[in-house]
Amino acid sequence: MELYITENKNNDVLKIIGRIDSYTSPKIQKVVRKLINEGHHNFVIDLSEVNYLSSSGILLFVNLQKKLSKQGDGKIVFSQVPDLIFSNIKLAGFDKFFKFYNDKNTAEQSF
Amino acid sequence: MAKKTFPGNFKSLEGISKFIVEQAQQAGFSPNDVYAIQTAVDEACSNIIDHAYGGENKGDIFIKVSERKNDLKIVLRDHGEPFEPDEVPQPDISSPLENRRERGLGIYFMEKLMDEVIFSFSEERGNKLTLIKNKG
Repeated sequence: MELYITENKNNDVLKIIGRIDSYTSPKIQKVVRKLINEGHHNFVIDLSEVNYLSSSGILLFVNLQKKLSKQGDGKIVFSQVPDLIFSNIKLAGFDKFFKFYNDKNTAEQSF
Repeated sequence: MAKKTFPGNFKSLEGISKFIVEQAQQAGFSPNDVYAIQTAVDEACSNIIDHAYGGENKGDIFIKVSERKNDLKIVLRDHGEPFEPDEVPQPDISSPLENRRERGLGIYFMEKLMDEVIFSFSEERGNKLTLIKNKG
């Protein structure tokens, strides 16, 4: 798994490459929690190059969104989610809690 | 029939997925079904590490994949604590975000994505989880 962070004025774009599973989720969580603790609160999660997202990966984003909601009005949005990955997010019933965008620019402008 | 043993840790999950994806592709499943099978096995193995072994590197995960005429049968074995699926609550996927609980999503995925999910335990051989996906 590789993680690239682009810090913008009012959001951070996190581009993740590879698998998001029980092995890699804690590593992503650590990075994002650090950003949240530093005051960052809007995130675009670019999943265009993610080839697998497990339930632990879905719960990672759910828990981060819960943390952001508790602290204020921060939010996580997704961009370019592959169909197979989106189908599992939907199966778990989490599709209604997040916004999904087909391109990164629209996602960034959503804040 | 293909067999493989993996150390019970989260780092193994990627290799397990590769093995399962190869087997499912060879059996002729569609990309959607291959992803479903990959997800079910990944969730099962995460549960084995977390719940049966109670942590990483406590024992191995034994995987046997058999392609049959009408389905693909995957058997996962471990020597951890007996796994009691009935004790894991079903997730309520319609509840609001703040009430969503974490446990049970893995089993929920397995049951939704596979045609049969059978848990069994024997003193001698430990936990056995059979996952079956029908062809076509």
